Amino acid sequence: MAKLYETVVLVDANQDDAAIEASVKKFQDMISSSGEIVRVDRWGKRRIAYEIAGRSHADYTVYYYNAAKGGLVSELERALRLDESILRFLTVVDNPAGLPPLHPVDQPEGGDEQDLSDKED
Amino acid sequence: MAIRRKRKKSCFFTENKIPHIDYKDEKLLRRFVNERGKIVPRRMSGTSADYQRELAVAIKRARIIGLLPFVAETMR
Repeated sequence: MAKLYETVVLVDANQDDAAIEASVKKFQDMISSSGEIVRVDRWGKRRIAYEIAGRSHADYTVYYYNAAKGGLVSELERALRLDESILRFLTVVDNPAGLPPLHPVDQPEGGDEQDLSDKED
Repeated sequence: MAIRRKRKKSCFFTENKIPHIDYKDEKLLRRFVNERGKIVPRRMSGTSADYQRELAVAIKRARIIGLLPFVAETMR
């Protein structure tokens, strides 16, 4: 039985937008190859509450998808681990809170952008 | 001997009928951590036991994805 998974991915925001979009697309394609994407929420760039790998900002994406047990999730997480531009990710199964309502902030382009000046390197 | 008045506290989640606490809801979770980023005990917040347990998990998840700090000198 397929279950609803959600994976939050933090991509290094210090890259150019094209690289970020390519990365999001890559993992989206990977999920849809053996699972079924329910929704992809782009939160866009935002400040992380603490520095991760020397970075203070990350580009957030949340993937909601149906997948059978095992297989896809471990495959996806392995790929995320190998990708050095991925700062952090978190996968949750069957989140009882379910899908959040569609909200302007969750829309791909609807980012209320904070200042994104990354002071590092 | 000082008389301690009991003030009636009520559970935020029960009152607002929030069925499940989502770890992605930063705005909500911020209400339940103090300025150092620590989880507010239920004796302060009045949260019911069931919700406090769910809340703790949600806050910890939010910390992992960098929505909330593990430690903070002062919260932004």
